[in-house]
Amino acid sequence: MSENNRTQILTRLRAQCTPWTDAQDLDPDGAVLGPAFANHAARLEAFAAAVAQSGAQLDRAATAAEVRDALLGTAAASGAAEVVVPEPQVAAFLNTCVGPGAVLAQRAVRPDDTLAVVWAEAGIAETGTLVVSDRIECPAQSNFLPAHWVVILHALDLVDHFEAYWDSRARTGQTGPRSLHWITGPSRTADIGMQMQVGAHGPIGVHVLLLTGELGIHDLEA
Amino acid sequence: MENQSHRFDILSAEALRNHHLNSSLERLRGGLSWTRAAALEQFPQFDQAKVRAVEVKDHCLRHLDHYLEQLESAVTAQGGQVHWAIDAAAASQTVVDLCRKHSAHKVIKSKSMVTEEIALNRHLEDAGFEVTETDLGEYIIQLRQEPPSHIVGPAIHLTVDQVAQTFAEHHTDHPSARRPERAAVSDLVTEAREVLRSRFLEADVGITGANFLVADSGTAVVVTNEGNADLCAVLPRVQIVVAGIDKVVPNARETANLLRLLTRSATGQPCATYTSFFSPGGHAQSPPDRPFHLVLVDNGRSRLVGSEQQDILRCIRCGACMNHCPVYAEIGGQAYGSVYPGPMGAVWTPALVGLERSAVLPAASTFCGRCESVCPVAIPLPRLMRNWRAEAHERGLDPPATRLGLRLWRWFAERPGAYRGVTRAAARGLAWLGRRHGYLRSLPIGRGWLAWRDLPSPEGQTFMDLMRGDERLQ
Amino acid sequence: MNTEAPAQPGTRVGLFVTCLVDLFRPSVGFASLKLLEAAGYQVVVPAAQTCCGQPAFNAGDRTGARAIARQLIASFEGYDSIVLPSGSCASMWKQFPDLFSQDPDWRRRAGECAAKTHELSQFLHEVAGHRAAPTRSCVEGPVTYHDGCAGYRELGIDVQPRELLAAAGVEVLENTAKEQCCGFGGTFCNRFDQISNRMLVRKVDALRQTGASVVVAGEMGCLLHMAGKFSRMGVEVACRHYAELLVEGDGAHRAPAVGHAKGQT
Repeated sequence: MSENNRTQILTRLRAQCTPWTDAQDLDPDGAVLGPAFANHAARLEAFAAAVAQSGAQLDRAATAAEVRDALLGTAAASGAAEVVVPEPQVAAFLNTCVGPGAVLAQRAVRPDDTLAVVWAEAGIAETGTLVVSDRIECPAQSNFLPAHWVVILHALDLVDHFEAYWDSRARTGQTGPRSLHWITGPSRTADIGMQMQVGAHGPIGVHVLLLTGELGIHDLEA
Repeated sequence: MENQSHRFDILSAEALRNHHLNSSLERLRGGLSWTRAAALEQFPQFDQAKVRAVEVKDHCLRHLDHYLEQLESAVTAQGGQVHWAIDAAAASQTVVDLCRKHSAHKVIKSKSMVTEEIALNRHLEDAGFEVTETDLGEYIIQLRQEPPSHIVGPAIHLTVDQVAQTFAEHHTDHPSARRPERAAVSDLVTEAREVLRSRFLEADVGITGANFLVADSGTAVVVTNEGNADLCAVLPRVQIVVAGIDKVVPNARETANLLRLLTRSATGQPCATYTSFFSPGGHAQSPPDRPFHLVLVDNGRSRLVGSEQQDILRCIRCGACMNHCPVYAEIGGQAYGSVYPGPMGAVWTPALVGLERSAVLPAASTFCGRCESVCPVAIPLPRLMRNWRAEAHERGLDPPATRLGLRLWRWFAERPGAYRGVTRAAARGLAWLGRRHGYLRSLPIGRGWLAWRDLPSPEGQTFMDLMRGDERLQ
Repeated sequence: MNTEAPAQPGTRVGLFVTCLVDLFRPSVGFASLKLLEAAGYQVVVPAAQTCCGQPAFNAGDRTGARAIARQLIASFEGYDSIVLPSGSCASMWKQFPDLFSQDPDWRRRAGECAAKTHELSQFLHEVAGHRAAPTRSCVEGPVTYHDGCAGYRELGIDVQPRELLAAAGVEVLENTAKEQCCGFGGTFCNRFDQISNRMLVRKVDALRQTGASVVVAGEMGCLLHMAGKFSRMGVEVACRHYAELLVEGDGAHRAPAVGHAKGQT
């Protein structure tokens, strides 16, 4: 059926479409780009402002102690008895910051978890967007199931705008993951009575932990 | 859903009498146009972005054959499968067959207008599958067995109390079943979250639509605020994407501009909460492959390519045209009897279900042009509606009274002498009839007008008569 | 009154008064004549005019619209400018070329006409450049202005009538329904009368909220529609075309407002 349908559709289209001659009828450099920021500091401030506008919280941390305080503060505020960290490298990093005897649990995220911590591969300053991808040790649902989603982002992984993100991907030459998610603020809906409510299906709380110093997880960035 | 557009007159009259609907629409009026306007104030490059969006979409339509084949190659190269469906029946059958092939029982879906268009849920249910919609609005109307009333907010026509009542009737096992009379919106959202969470976890197949299909990477782009599409796509063991062939764009970078226009035009957001890019394959770090199926739906679209209606294929389904439409604002979306309501629906519907069933939709517009003025991809909606009217007229699908009136009017309009005679008589006659008050309340014709307004009487003589003998009349 | 010669001597204007002005409100036709002449133009009223063809065009009767368009093009193409006291009809003239996609010769002629077609306030404001600033308006007290959809969105008519009114000493109170269609829409108001009426109610409510006792517009269809509603509601609001307010009024000779009997305001 599909093959026959395919032929019919393409035959109809070919009768009307312009023959493809490497599409010189669209200027590849004609894109209307998002906002460009003068320097790293401006980009960082724009990102922080956009995160706030999206309804997410942002903590900046330059030292291990600041990471600990931000993480434990968020865990306490969200009533999480346990801080679930699916990826071993991220758990190792957090362990060094938080110290022994803490509430960290390195395991896969379960549907009823209160709080999970993941690592974002990039942030987009234009909209306060966090970029995560489906990975073996941190599958995509880790970003959607917990009630509170803590995402660690290194300030050096910020890009100006949407196009800049794709350009940075193109430079690495990597193929796409099974799924790539741009996440901007908490899950929300206005489907009942046109009243905005957070926490429709995904996290109710989004907490960005922005690393501004030397801290980082080099294994993941490789 | 079975198309009901030919019943527009009945449905719209019912809608005008529906108090629940009127109070819901009261919130819609102003609300969404205000949020869009506020978002555009923060986005000064809107006009430039719009021009680029038109360039890109038109380019894709000029080369739709090329891009669809490129998309197909990219999907199959990564281990996914592409299925082509010429019409609604073929599309639904394809999905049913896929669910059978993968021995599925339970199916979860995120909101997708094309799956509404092909009546997928009915087909899946008839074939014995249990289907759950997971977009909150779509879930509500699924429980109520109603068609959607808006392409972005399918349950926008319902009041909070109506939703509370629906949940109370269906969520009998939920602890909130004995909740107080008036439920808060936050409680209802939480309740739906809890009920639907288990459905996500039990499902075998997850079906989403796509806002864009990226040709060079074989990627489906899905935009939501709830996150339901993501859970549909990533949790079940099989992923199916159903999308119209008009959704293709050349590459991921070109989606950026379209996304900026889409979210601002739809809800006034600079960016939706979730913008997700699903590809069949994965890189070295991705979890093991799950089946990925892309069903490409034509259903009348390829016939629009190269036609005078082609511009509607640029549509990115933001809903701005209906949010700003004065007719939609009075009657809501369900009165159109179509999956696609409002101005964009008045252009899409005839292409999908045939003009003979839907000629009334493009007729039900004052051509005020507000839809075109807010459209982020500059679709000349009034012009396209007028084109359908022309086809309806050529095919004799417009009402007989309209045809007769037009013939008479044209006969006189082409004969200035005779026209003067009739207008003279009309001006004098109407002026005499309305001489006491300056207006008329009853006449043998124009019942629709006179039902709600008086007819102001003419001054008495026509301009042309008063000009007689004037040297300026030549 | 200003009798200064126009910048380009011999500039001849063909005035198309529109079918609704011809039948319902000749005063608007005469006001238009007066305003154009006061601006120094030589105005001619071509006798072959009936209707612009919009009813046929919008009903999908392209053949009918084409026939009317040919007739109008032939009688108006000799003038330097074509002026209409209606944005909606002027917009129809601007679309004449679309009717002749298969006929290059007529398409060219239609295009030439379209290029020199102007709605009255646009012509006075942009082409005539305010040369004939009228003295004192015949209307006392503030008015509110209704933006006819076609003129506003298709032709960009917005500040022109407002500034002309201001120059005539008329105070314009803005209403909150600038973007809202009044629901007239030609045959729409009769065929979809219930929907149209809801739109109309919304419109007239917003106009009344300004407190102005006069509603001014540049579109006879909208004016008849709104005046008919005001009179059905028993509300004392006068509806007038802006051109009526721009000509010097001595009270005794002006027509009563749309839908009002002689002797009323």
